[in-house]
Amino acid sequence: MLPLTLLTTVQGHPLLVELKNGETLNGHLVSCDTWMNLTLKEVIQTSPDGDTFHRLPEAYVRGNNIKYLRVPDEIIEMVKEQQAAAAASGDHHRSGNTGDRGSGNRMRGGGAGGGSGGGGRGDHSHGRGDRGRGGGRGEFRGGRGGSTRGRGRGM
Amino acid sequence: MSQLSAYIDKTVTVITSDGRTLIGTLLGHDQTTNLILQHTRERIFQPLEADVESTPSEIVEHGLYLIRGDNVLVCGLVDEKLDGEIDWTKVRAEPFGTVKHAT
Repeated sequence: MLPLTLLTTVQGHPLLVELKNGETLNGHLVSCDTWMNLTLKEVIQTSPDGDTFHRLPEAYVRGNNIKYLRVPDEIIEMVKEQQAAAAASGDHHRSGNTGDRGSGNRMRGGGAGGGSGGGGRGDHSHGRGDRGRGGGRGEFRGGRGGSTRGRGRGM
Repeated sequence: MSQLSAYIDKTVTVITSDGRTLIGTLLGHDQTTNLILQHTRERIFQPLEADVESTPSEIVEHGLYLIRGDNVLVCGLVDEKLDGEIDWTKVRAEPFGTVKHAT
């Protein structure tokens, strides 16, 4: 299970965020992205020493300021249900660790770049950027991995 | 590449850059070492000079945690049998120092 999968499931549920400066934000998660940037609503902000409180109707948190998130225990069940539903519907179900695949793919990308000469490098870095963004990853990989694998080995 | 996935669904201890010690079941992780910990508890040790008979070290339940990778110093596999034999309320420890970043 990926941390960001869990986080997307928390949308619409209460959440406690501790920031690196020790402040905590208690609120409902409205949305999040792949950088862990968050928007929260109905927030109570607590100072690092824990003795001043502010109520904020809405807050945006840049992901890099987060220390940890505390989420309701029930969320874990919801993630499992969603994954089971996705697997049943024959969606591009991703199991295991995407970290593995990422590194594998990068090597393949390198193979393809080399094959197309100098120009290949530009392509290569471009391809990486695409993958890094994460949207529609699953689809891309199936097709590309298959075709570039051959080239990679040929080198 | 070393693999954190070998620790999935096992009890791990996590030391964070603010010096906390967390214990829980590792449910997931990603490329940036973000971690999902279930049944998370934090061990708050009394200092060496404290009398743990009158003021024992604390274990605080935190539930489900998502720890951002930036703050993870160590994620270690726990020997559950050995861990269970220790009365952690009687353990004292010096707090960790602060993190220093190379320039």
